[in-house]
Amino acid sequence: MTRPDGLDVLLNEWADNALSNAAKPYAEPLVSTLPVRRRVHFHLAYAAAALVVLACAITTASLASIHRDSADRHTPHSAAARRPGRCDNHQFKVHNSKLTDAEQKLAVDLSYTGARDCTILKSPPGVTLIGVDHPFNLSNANSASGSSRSFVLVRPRAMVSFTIQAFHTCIALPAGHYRISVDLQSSDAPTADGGVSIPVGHLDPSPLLCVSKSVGIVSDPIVTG
Amino acid sequence: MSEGPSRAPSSASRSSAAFDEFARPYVATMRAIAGREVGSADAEDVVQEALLRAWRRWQTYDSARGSAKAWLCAILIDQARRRRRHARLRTTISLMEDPPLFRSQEPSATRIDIDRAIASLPRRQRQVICLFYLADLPVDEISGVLGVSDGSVKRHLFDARANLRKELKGHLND
Repeated sequence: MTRPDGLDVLLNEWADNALSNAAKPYAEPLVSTLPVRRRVHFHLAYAAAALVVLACAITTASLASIHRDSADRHTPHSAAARRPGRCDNHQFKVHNSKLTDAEQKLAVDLSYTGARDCTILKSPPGVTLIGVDHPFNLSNANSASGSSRSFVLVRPRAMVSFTIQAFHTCIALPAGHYRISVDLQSSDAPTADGGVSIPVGHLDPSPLLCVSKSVGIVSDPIVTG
Repeated sequence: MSEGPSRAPSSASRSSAAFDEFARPYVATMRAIAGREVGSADAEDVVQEALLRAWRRWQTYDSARGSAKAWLCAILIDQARRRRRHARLRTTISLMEDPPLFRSQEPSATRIDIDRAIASLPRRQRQVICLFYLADLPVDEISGVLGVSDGSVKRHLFDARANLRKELKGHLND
């Protein structure tokens, strides 16, 4: 630095003064117990809050379970008037927020069919797959318990090929709601081209393929169009 | 910077008393800087939090990488940044008047003006001035504390001094 000038002298005096003023004699140890005590209080508060939240969650889950058992599970409600991605069914979770509006609407709609859980399975370019755990025994389900199903949602207008082990384990969604327009490649596929198409209303053109979770997809989806 | 006990602690000596001996020479500097970083009302808390963090991480201190004063100042500056961010998120109103920057002798008009002029500087310039004059750190240690280059520190120091010269013109002419 350059040699001290008037400003340096002024600032050095200021610094000396500030330091002498700040040099409060410390009788207690430097690391006093005050912040530690405060932290302990914070931790206790957090623990108490966590316990309350946990208790509420358990209560809500119990009530929802009771309610779900008594409700009409197969009555889908329109999601059109609802905010995309939002769901009033507390049991329902969408694990990937990067969904298109149509997919979010469909995910919300799925929640009204009683779906409990929704997970993105695979996301190659141009296609989004969502697996949904479903608590109900829908028609055609052939698993013993019929309690867990997986739906696969395909991004609109994508043509996707899958290989599944057995077509007859596919299950149907509530009639008239979704369209399945996917090229299925399976020895058990009932149609010549392996495709299934169900016209739907407001969710068009989102195609949906549903397969049972016990079967699942055994090949990576291939986007062909 | 060779003042004070700036040795790295051994695990055996890592006690509260040893830390006391290690950090005590720099507490006044930390308090003075904290007062300019977050205001006098929060300065004591920030210093305490910084000392607590320093104590917890004491075993990570390496005297080969810089002086103890620079290490403590770096922790203090970071703690002050956290405090400011926290204050932005949760506005608080003090029930007491903002106390003066610690107990002091009767402040002279010149010192009040200097304090005011330094407080009006942009944050980085203020930090550089405080670390340079209050903590008496060299440029290379200031750059380490603030995580910027030496050239940046020199530029901030130059700009700060130019601004202060402008603000304190009357006192410099005396």
